[in-house]
Amino acid sequence: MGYMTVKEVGEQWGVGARAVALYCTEGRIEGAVKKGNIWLIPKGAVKPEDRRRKKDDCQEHEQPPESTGLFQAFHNKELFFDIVKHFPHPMHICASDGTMLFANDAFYQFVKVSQPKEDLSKHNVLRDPGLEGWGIKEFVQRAYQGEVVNAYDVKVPIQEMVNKFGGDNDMLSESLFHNMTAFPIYNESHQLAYIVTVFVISRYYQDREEIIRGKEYIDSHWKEEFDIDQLAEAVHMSRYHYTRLFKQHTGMTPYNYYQEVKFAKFKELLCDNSLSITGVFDECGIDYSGSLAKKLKQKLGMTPSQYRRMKTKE
Amino acid sequence: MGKKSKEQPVEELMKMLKSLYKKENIQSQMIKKFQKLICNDGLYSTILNDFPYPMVVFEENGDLVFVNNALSTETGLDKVCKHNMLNRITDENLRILDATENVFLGKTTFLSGLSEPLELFMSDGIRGKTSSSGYREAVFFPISEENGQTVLGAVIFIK
Repeated sequence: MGYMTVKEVGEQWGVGARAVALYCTEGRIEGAVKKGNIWLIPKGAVKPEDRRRKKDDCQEHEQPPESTGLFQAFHNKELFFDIVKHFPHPMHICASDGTMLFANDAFYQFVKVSQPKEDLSKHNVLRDPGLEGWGIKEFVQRAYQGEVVNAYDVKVPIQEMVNKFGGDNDMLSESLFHNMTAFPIYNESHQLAYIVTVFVISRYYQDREEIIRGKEYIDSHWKEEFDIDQLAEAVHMSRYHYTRLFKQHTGMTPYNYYQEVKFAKFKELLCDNSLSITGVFDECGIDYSGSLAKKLKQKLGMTPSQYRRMKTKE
Repeated sequence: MGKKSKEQPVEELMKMLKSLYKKENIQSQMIKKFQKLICNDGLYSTILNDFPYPMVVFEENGDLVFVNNALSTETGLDKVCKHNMLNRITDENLRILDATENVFLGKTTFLSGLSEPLELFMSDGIRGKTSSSGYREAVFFPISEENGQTVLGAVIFIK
Protein backbone atom coordinates (compact mmCIF):
# COMPACT_ATOMS: atom_id res chain seq x y z
CA MET A 1 0.00 0.00 0.00
CA GLY A 2 1.35 3.45 -0.91
CA TYR A 3 1.50 6.23 1.63
CA MET A 4 1.47 10.01 1.46
CA THR A 5 2.74 12.66 3.88
CA VAL A 6 0.41 15.09 5.64
CA LYS A 7 1.67 17.86 3.37
CA GLU A 8 0.82 15.91 0.20
CA VAL A 9 -2.57 14.94 1.56
CA GLY A 10 -3.24 18.52 2.63
CA GLU A 11 -2.52 19.75 -0.89
CA GLN A 12 -4.77 17.08 -2.34
CA TRP A 13 -7.65 17.87 0.00
CA GLY A 14 -7.15 21.62 -0.07
CA VAL A 15 -6.54 21.92 3.67
CA GLY A 16 -3.49 22.83 5.75
CA ALA A 17 -0.93 20.22 6.80
CA ARG A 18 -1.72 20.96 10.44
CA ALA A 19 -5.40 20.17 9.91
CA VAL A 20 -4.42 16.81 8.37
CA ALA A 21 -2.08 16.11 11.31
CA LEU A 22 -4.93 16.89 13.66
CA TYR A 23 -7.26 14.49 11.79
CA CYS A 24 -4.57 11.83 12.20
CA THR A 25 -4.21 12.50 15.93
CA GLU A 26 -7.97 12.27 16.32
CA GLY A 27 -8.03 8.94 14.43
CA ARG A 28 -10.31 10.30 11.76
CA ILE A 29 -8.26 9.02 8.82
CA GLU A 30 -8.54 5.30 8.32
CA GLY A 31 -5.23 3.48 7.97
CA ALA A 32 -3.06 6.46 8.96
CA VAL A 33 0.08 5.27 10.78
CA LYS A 34 2.77 7.07 12.68
CA LYS A 35 6.45 6.34 11.98
CA GLY A 36 8.61 8.19 14.42
CA ASN A 37 7.36 11.74 14.28
CA ILE A 38 5.77 11.44 10.84
CA TRP A 39 2.24 10.49 9.95
CA LEU A 40 1.82 8.30 6.89
CA ILE A 41 -1.56 8.33 5.22
CA PRO A 42 -2.68 5.64 2.79
CA LYS A 43 -3.11 6.82 -0.78
CA GLY A 44 -6.80 7.11 -1.50
CA ALA A 45 -7.72 7.80 2.15
CA VAL A 46 -11.04 9.56 2.51
CA LYS A 47 -11.08 13.12 3.72
CA PRO A 48 -12.96 13.27 7.03
CA GLU A 49 -16.33 14.90 6.93
CA ASP A 50 -16.33 18.67 7.09
CA ARG A 51 -18.27 19.44 10.22
CA ARG A 52 -18.93 23.05 9.35
CA ARG A 53 -22.60 23.91 9.27
CA LYS A 54 -23.91 24.80 5.88
CA LYS A 55 -25.75 28.06 5.35
CA ASP A 56 -28.90 26.19 4.29
CA ASP A 57 -28.86 24.10 7.48
CA CYS A 58 -28.83 27.26 9.51
CA GLN A 59 -31.86 28.54 7.70
CA GLU A 60 -33.74 25.31 8.08
CA HIS A 61 -33.43 25.11 11.84
CA GLU A 62 -33.67 27.78 14.40
CA GLN A 63 -30.20 27.88 15.94
CA PRO A 64 -29.48 28.49 19.58
CA PRO A 65 -27.57 31.75 20.05
CA GLU A 66 -24.30 30.02 20.94
CA SER A 67 -24.06 28.34 17.53
CA THR A 68 -23.73 31.62 15.70
CA GLY A 69 -20.85 34.04 15.20
CA LEU A 70 -17.54 33.53 16.94
CA PHE A 71 -18.82 30.75 19.17
CA GLN A 72 -19.52 28.70 16.07
CA ALA A 73 -15.85 28.94 15.16
CA PHE A 74 -15.03 26.79 18.17
CA HIS A 75 -17.20 24.02 16.77
CA ASN A 76 -15.71 24.44 13.34
CA LYS A 77 -12.24 23.04 13.68
CA GLU A 78 -10.72 24.25 10.42
CA LEU A 79 -11.90 27.79 10.89
CA PHE A 80 -10.86 27.70 14.52
CA PHE A 81 -7.36 26.46 13.68
CA ASP A 82 -7.04 29.10 10.97
CA ILE A 83 -7.87 31.81 13.50
CA VAL A 84 -5.45 30.37 16.01
CA LYS A 85 -2.71 29.94 13.39
CA HIS A 86 -2.72 33.64 12.57
CA PHE A 87 -3.41 34.87 16.08
CA PRO A 88 -0.70 37.45 16.87
CA HIS A 89 0.15 36.08 20.33
CA PRO A 90 1.78 32.72 21.07
CA MET A 91 -0.85 30.08 21.64
CA HIS A 92 -0.94 26.32 21.94
CA ILE A 93 -3.68 23.75 22.09
CA CYS A 94 -3.43 20.56 24.06
CA ALA A 95 -5.65 17.55 24.45
CA SER A 96 -7.31 17.04 27.81
CA ASP A 97 -4.51 14.61 28.81
CA GLY A 98 -1.93 17.37 28.31
CA THR A 99 -0.60 16.21 24.93
CA MET A 100 0.30 19.16 22.79
CA LEU A 101 -1.59 19.08 19.51
CA PHE A 102 -1.08 22.41 17.92
CA ALA A 103 0.92 25.61 18.23
CA ASN A 104 0.47 28.74 16.19
CA ASP A 105 3.03 30.66 14.16
CA ALA A 106 3.57 33.21 16.94
CA PHE A 107 4.40 30.35 19.33
CA TYR A 108 7.01 28.93 16.95
CA GLN A 109 8.54 32.38 16.57
CA PHE A 110 8.55 32.67 20.35
CA VAL A 111 10.52 29.41 20.74
CA LYS A 112 12.77 30.34 17.79
CA VAL A 113 11.62 27.45 15.61
CA SER A 114 11.79 28.34 11.94
CA GLN A 115 10.32 25.08 10.62
CA PRO A 116 7.08 24.30 12.50
CA LYS A 117 6.77 20.70 13.63
CA GLU A 118 3.95 18.61 12.30
CA ASP A 119 3.89 16.44 15.36
CA LEU A 120 4.02 17.96 18.81
CA SER A 121 2.64 14.96 20.68
CA LYS A 122 5.94 14.23 22.44
CA HIS A 123 5.32 17.39 24.47
CA ASN A 124 2.94 16.96 27.36
CA VAL A 125 2.13 20.01 29.43
CA LEU A 126 0.96 18.02 32.44
CA ARG A 127 4.18 16.02 32.54
CA ASP A 128 6.44 19.04 32.19
CA PRO A 129 8.89 18.87 35.12
CA GLY A 130 9.52 22.61 34.83
CA LEU A 131 6.02 23.70 35.88
CA GLU A 132 6.98 24.13 39.50
CA GLY A 133 9.95 26.28 38.57
CA TRP A 134 7.75 28.50 36.42
CA GLY A 135 5.36 28.91 39.33
CA ILE A 136 2.39 27.87 37.17
CA LYS A 137 1.66 24.39 38.48
CA GLU A 138 -1.65 25.43 40.00
CA PHE A 139 -2.54 27.41 36.87
CA VAL A 140 -2.07 24.30 34.74
CA GLN A 141 -3.89 21.99 37.14
CA ARG A 142 -6.92 24.28 37.27
CA ALA A 143 -6.90 24.73 33.49
CA TYR A 144 -6.98 20.95 32.98
CA GLN A 145 -9.94 20.70 35.29
CA GLY A 146 -11.84 22.86 32.82
CA GLU A 147 -11.50 26.29 34.45
CA VAL A 148 -10.69 29.51 32.67
CA VAL A 149 -7.54 30.67 34.46
CA ASN A 150 -5.22 33.65 34.28
CA ALA A 151 -1.68 34.03 35.53
CA TYR A 152 -0.06 37.41 35.53
CA ASP A 153 3.51 38.49 34.92
CA VAL A 154 4.93 34.98 34.72
CA LYS A 155 8.62 34.83 33.90
CA VAL A 156 8.77 32.37 31.05
CA PRO A 157 12.03 30.37 30.93
CA ILE A 158 12.58 31.18 27.29
CA GLN A 159 15.93 29.43 26.95
CA GLU A 160 14.42 26.23 28.41
CA MET A 161 11.51 26.42 25.97
CA VAL A 162 13.75 27.06 23.00
CA ASN A 163 15.80 24.01 23.93
CA LYS A 164 12.69 21.92 24.44
CA PHE A 165 11.18 22.74 21.06
CA GLY A 166 14.48 22.49 19.21
CA GLY A 167 14.72 26.16 18.33
CA ASP A 168 17.80 28.15 17.45
CA ASN A 169 20.07 27.23 20.33
CA ASP A 170 22.15 30.40 20.60
CA MET A 171 22.31 31.80 24.12
CA LEU A 172 19.59 34.41 24.38
CA SER A 173 20.13 37.81 25.90
CA GLU A 174 16.48 38.46 26.48
CA SER A 175 13.95 37.93 29.18
CA LEU A 176 10.19 37.71 28.90
CA PHE A 177 7.31 37.96 31.28
CA HIS A 178 3.82 36.96 30.16
CA ASN A 179 0.24 37.19 31.22
CA MET A 180 -1.13 33.73 30.52
CA THR A 181 -4.71 32.69 29.94
CA ALA A 182 -5.93 29.12 29.58
CA PHE A 183 -9.46 28.22 28.60
CA PRO A 184 -11.23 24.93 27.90
CA ILE A 185 -13.04 23.78 24.79
CA TYR A 186 -15.71 21.16 25.22
CA ASN A 187 -16.89 18.67 22.60
CA GLU A 188 -20.48 17.98 21.58
CA SER A 189 -20.87 15.62 24.54
CA HIS A 190 -19.77 18.45 26.87
CA GLN A 191 -16.56 16.68 27.72
CA LEU A 192 -13.32 18.57 28.05
CA ALA A 193 -11.64 18.21 24.65
CA TYR A 194 -8.92 20.85 24.41
CA ILE A 195 -7.12 23.40 26.51
CA VAL A 196 -6.04 26.56 24.75
CA THR A 197 -3.22 28.56 26.35
CA VAL A 198 -2.44 32.09 25.23
CA PHE A 199 0.69 34.07 26.14
CA VAL A 200 0.58 37.86 26.07
CA ILE A 201 3.83 39.66 26.77
CA SER A 202 3.74 41.82 29.88
CA ARG A 203 7.44 42.66 30.06
CA TYR A 204 10.30 42.25 27.63
CA TYR A 205 13.99 42.86 28.14
CA GLN A 206 16.90 42.58 25.77
CA ASP A 207 20.34 43.66 26.92
CA ARG A 208 23.37 42.44 28.79
CA GLU A 209 22.36 39.78 31.27
CA GLU A 210 23.23 41.95 34.30
CA ILE A 211 21.19 44.85 32.96
CA ILE A 212 18.20 42.60 32.29
CA ARG A 213 18.44 41.20 35.81
CA GLY A 214 18.70 44.68 37.32
CA LYS A 215 15.72 45.98 35.36
CA GLU A 216 13.71 42.90 36.24
CA TYR A 217 14.56 43.43 39.88
CA ILE A 218 13.53 47.10 39.85
CA ASP A 219 10.35 46.38 37.86
CA SER A 220 9.38 43.71 40.39
CA HIS A 221 10.22 45.84 43.45
CA TRP A 222 9.09 49.28 42.30
CA LYS A 223 6.59 49.55 45.16
CA GLU A 224 9.32 49.25 47.75
CA GLU A 225 11.88 51.88 48.61
CA PHE A 226 14.93 51.71 46.33
CA ASP A 227 17.78 49.74 47.83
CA ILE A 228 21.13 49.62 46.02
CA ASP A 229 22.35 46.87 48.37
CA GLN A 230 19.64 44.47 47.28
CA LEU A 231 20.04 45.41 43.64
CA ALA A 232 23.81 44.84 43.81
CA GLU A 233 23.14 41.48 45.45
CA ALA A 234 20.66 40.53 42.70
CA VAL A 235 23.21 41.19 39.98
CA HIS A 236 26.31 40.08 41.93
CA MET A 237 28.23 43.26 41.20
CA SER A 238 29.67 46.13 43.18
CA ARG A 239 27.46 49.17 43.64
CA TYR A 240 30.00 51.38 41.90
CA HIS A 241 30.55 49.18 38.89
CA TYR A 242 26.89 48.34 38.42
CA THR A 243 25.72 51.95 38.63
CA ARG A 244 28.20 52.88 35.88
CA LEU A 245 27.35 49.85 33.76
CA PHE A 246 23.63 50.52 34.06
CA LYS A 247 24.11 54.17 33.11
CA GLN A 248 26.26 53.15 30.15
CA HIS A 249 23.64 50.73 28.81
CA THR A 250 20.42 52.53 29.60
CA GLY A 251 21.46 56.17 29.73
CA MET A 252 20.33 56.52 33.34
CA THR A 253 21.38 55.43 36.80
CA PRO A 254 19.45 52.60 38.51
CA TYR A 255 17.81 55.13 40.82
CA ASN A 256 16.66 57.25 37.88
CA TYR A 257 15.27 54.11 36.24
CA TYR A 258 13.44 53.24 39.47
CA GLN A 259 11.93 56.75 39.54
CA GLU A 260 10.82 56.41 35.91
CA VAL A 261 9.12 53.08 36.63
CA LYS A 262 7.43 54.49 39.71
CA PHE A 263 6.29 57.58 37.84
CA ALA A 264 4.85 55.50 34.98
CA LYS A 265 2.91 53.29 37.43
CA PHE A 266 1.76 56.35 39.33
CA LYS A 267 0.34 57.92 36.16
CA GLU A 268 -1.24 54.62 35.15
CA LEU A 269 -3.00 54.24 38.50
CA LEU A 270 -4.18 57.86 38.46
CA CYS A 271 -6.31 56.86 35.47
CA ASP A 272 -8.08 54.27 37.62
CA ASN A 273 -11.08 56.19 38.93
CA SER A 274 -11.94 53.46 41.41
CA LEU A 275 -8.95 54.58 43.50
CA SER A 276 -8.83 57.80 45.49
CA ILE A 277 -5.79 60.01 44.98
CA THR A 278 -4.39 58.99 48.36
CA GLY A 279 -5.20 55.41 47.39
CA VAL A 280 -3.01 55.80 44.31
CA PHE A 281 -0.14 57.01 46.51
CA ASP A 282 -0.67 54.02 48.80
CA GLU A 283 -0.78 51.57 45.88
CA CYS A 284 2.51 52.98 44.62
CA GLY A 285 4.12 52.78 48.05
CA ILE A 286 4.62 56.56 48.19
CA ASP A 287 4.14 58.69 51.30
CA TYR A 288 1.71 61.44 50.26
CA SER A 289 3.75 64.13 52.06
CA GLY A 290 7.20 62.66 51.52
CA SER A 291 10.07 63.81 49.34
CA LEU A 292 9.35 61.37 46.51
CA ALA A 293 5.71 62.45 46.36
CA LYS A 294 6.85 66.04 46.00
CA LYS A 295 9.16 65.09 43.18
CA LEU A 296 6.48 63.12 41.35
CA LYS A 297 4.04 65.99 41.64
CA GLN A 298 6.67 68.33 40.19
CA LYS A 299 7.33 65.92 37.35
CA LEU A 300 3.63 65.62 36.62
CA GLY A 301 3.50 69.38 36.12
CA MET A 302 0.09 69.58 37.75
CA THR A 303 -1.72 68.20 40.75
CA PRO A 304 -2.65 64.50 40.62
CA SER A 305 -6.36 65.48 40.59
CA GLN A 306 -5.81 67.78 37.63
CA TYR A 307 -3.96 65.00 35.82
CA ARG A 308 -6.83 62.60 36.49
CA ARG A 309 -9.42 65.10 35.22
CA MET A 310 -7.37 65.71 32.09
CA LYS A 311 -7.07 61.99 31.37
CA THR A 312 -10.77 61.39 32.05
CA LYS A 313 -11.68 64.06 29.48
CA GLU A 314 -9.43 62.40 26.86
CA MET B 1 48.96 105.91 33.53
CA GLY B 2 49.41 103.45 30.69
CA LYS B 3 51.83 101.38 32.76
CA LYS B 4 49.34 101.26 35.61
CA SER B 5 46.49 100.02 33.46
CA LYS B 6 48.67 97.21 32.11
CA GLU B 7 49.78 96.14 35.57
CA GLN B 8 46.32 96.33 37.11
CA PRO B 9 44.91 93.10 35.60
CA VAL B 10 48.09 91.21 36.49
CA GLU B 11 47.83 92.36 40.09
CA GLU B 12 44.18 91.42 40.22
CA LEU B 13 44.99 87.98 38.81
CA MET B 14 47.73 87.54 41.39
CA LYS B 15 45.28 88.52 44.15
CA MET B 16 42.75 86.06 42.84
CA LEU B 17 45.32 83.27 42.65
CA LYS B 18 46.48 84.04 46.17
CA SER B 19 42.92 83.98 47.39
CA LEU B 20 42.28 80.66 45.61
CA TYR B 21 45.49 79.22 47.03
CA LYS B 22 44.47 80.49 50.44
CA LYS B 23 41.01 78.94 50.05
CA GLU B 24 42.48 75.63 48.95
CA ASN B 25 45.00 75.83 51.75
CA ILE B 26 42.25 76.48 54.27
CA GLN B 27 40.24 73.58 52.88
CA SER B 28 43.26 71.27 53.09
CA GLN B 29 43.93 72.37 56.64
CA MET B 30 40.28 71.91 57.50
CA ILE B 31 40.32 68.40 56.05
CA LYS B 32 43.49 67.55 57.98
CA LYS B 33 41.88 68.79 61.18
CA PHE B 34 38.79 66.74 60.54
CA GLN B 35 40.85 63.68 59.74
CA LYS B 36 42.75 64.13 62.97
CA LEU B 37 39.60 64.76 64.93
CA ILE B 38 37.88 61.68 63.58
CA CYS B 39 40.93 59.52 64.26
CA ASN B 40 41.65 60.90 67.71
CA ASP B 41 38.31 61.67 69.25
CA GLY B 42 36.10 59.10 67.66
CA LEU B 43 33.10 59.71 65.49
CA TYR B 44 30.78 61.08 68.06
CA SER B 45 32.80 64.12 68.85
CA THR B 46 30.68 67.11 69.81
CA ILE B 47 32.55 69.29 67.34
CA LEU B 48 31.68 67.06 64.42
CA ASN B 49 28.13 66.74 65.58
CA ASP B 50 27.66 70.46 65.92
CA PHE B 51 29.61 71.45 62.85
CA PRO B 52 27.23 73.77 60.95
CA TYR B 53 27.67 72.14 57.56
CA PRO B 54 26.13 68.76 56.72
CA MET B 55 28.64 65.98 57.05
CA VAL B 56 28.69 62.20 56.90
CA VAL B 57 31.29 59.49 57.36
CA PHE B 58 30.90 56.38 55.24
CA GLU B 59 32.32 52.95 54.58
CA GLU B 60 33.65 51.75 51.24
CA ASN B 61 30.32 50.13 50.30
CA GLY B 62 28.55 53.46 50.86
CA ASP B 63 26.98 52.59 54.22
CA LEU B 64 26.89 55.59 56.55
CA VAL B 65 28.59 55.26 59.92
CA PHE B 66 28.15 58.84 61.10
CA VAL B 67 25.71 61.64 60.30
CA ASN B 68 26.05 65.04 61.95
CA ASN B 69 23.19 67.17 63.27
CA ALA B 70 23.22 69.60 60.33
CA LEU B 71 22.73 66.82 57.80
CA SER B 72 20.11 65.13 59.90
CA THR B 73 18.16 68.39 60.17
CA GLU B 74 18.42 69.17 56.47
CA THR B 75 17.38 65.74 55.25
CA GLY B 76 15.31 64.29 58.07
CA LEU B 77 17.60 61.25 58.06
CA ASP B 78 17.40 59.27 61.26
CA LYS B 79 20.89 59.11 62.72
CA VAL B 80 20.55 55.52 63.83
CA CYS B 81 18.92 54.31 60.62
CA LYS B 82 20.91 52.21 58.16
CA HIS B 83 21.42 54.16 54.96
CA ASN B 84 23.61 53.77 51.91
CA MET B 85 24.76 56.96 50.25
CA LEU B 86 25.05 55.23 46.87
CA ASN B 87 21.31 54.47 46.88
CA ARG B 88 20.22 57.59 45.10
CA ILE B 89 22.94 58.44 42.66
CA THR B 90 21.24 60.31 39.84
CA ASP B 91 22.37 61.18 36.32
CA GLU B 92 23.01 64.75 37.48
CA ASN B 93 25.16 63.66 40.43
CA LEU B 94 27.03 60.74 38.93
CA ARG B 95 30.33 62.48 39.84
CA ILE B 96 29.57 61.68 43.48
CA LEU B 97 30.00 57.99 42.66
CA ASP B 98 33.54 58.59 41.42
CA ALA B 99 34.38 60.92 44.29
CA THR B 100 33.17 58.36 46.83
CA GLU B 101 35.16 55.58 45.23
CA ASN B 102 38.26 57.74 44.89
CA VAL B 103 38.24 58.41 48.63
CA PHE B 104 39.22 54.78 49.14
CA LEU B 105 42.09 55.23 46.74
CA GLY B 106 43.31 57.92 49.11
CA LYS B 107 42.14 60.86 46.98
CA THR B 108 40.41 64.07 48.06
CA THR B 109 37.86 65.47 45.60
CA PHE B 110 36.16 68.85 45.47
CA LEU B 111 32.89 68.92 43.57
CA SER B 112 30.96 72.02 42.65
CA GLY B 113 27.76 72.65 40.72
CA LEU B 114 26.02 69.66 42.27
CA SER B 115 22.28 69.29 41.95
CA GLU B 116 20.50 68.72 45.26
CA PRO B 117 23.23 66.44 46.66
CA LEU B 118 21.48 66.13 50.01
CA GLU B 119 18.77 64.08 48.33
CA LEU B 120 21.26 61.22 48.55
CA PHE B 121 20.39 61.01 52.21
CA MET B 122 16.64 61.17 51.98
CA SER B 123 14.18 58.34 52.12
CA ASP B 124 10.94 58.35 50.14
CA GLY B 125 8.79 59.06 53.15
CA ILE B 126 11.11 61.57 54.79
CA ARG B 127 9.81 65.07 55.37
CA GLY B 128 13.06 67.01 55.67
CA LYS B 129 13.67 70.43 54.20
CA THR B 130 13.97 68.55 50.89
CA SER B 131 15.14 70.31 47.78
CA SER B 132 16.58 73.76 47.16
CA SER B 133 18.57 73.82 50.38
CA GLY B 134 21.35 75.53 48.41
CA TYR B 135 24.17 73.03 48.90
CA ARG B 136 26.02 72.82 45.61
CA GLU B 137 29.58 71.94 46.65
CA ALA B 138 31.10 69.00 48.45
CA VAL B 139 34.49 67.88 49.58
CA PHE B 140 35.17 64.16 49.79
CA PHE B 141 38.23 63.08 51.76
CA PRO B 142 39.77 59.90 53.12
CA ILE B 143 40.19 59.04 56.77
CA SER B 144 43.26 56.90 57.16
CA GLU B 145 44.70 54.79 59.90
CA GLU B 146 48.25 55.30 61.15
CA ASN B 147 49.56 52.82 58.59
CA GLY B 148 48.11 55.03 55.85
CA GLN B 149 45.29 52.67 54.93
CA THR B 150 42.00 54.41 54.21
CA VAL B 151 39.33 52.90 56.37
CA LEU B 152 36.54 55.45 56.05
CA GLY B 153 35.54 58.33 53.85
CA ALA B 154 33.90 61.62 54.78
CA VAL B 155 32.04 64.29 52.90
CA ILE B 156 31.14 67.83 53.89
CA PHE B 157 28.57 69.76 51.90
CA ILE B 158 29.07 73.46 51.41
CA LYS B 159 26.75 76.15 50.12
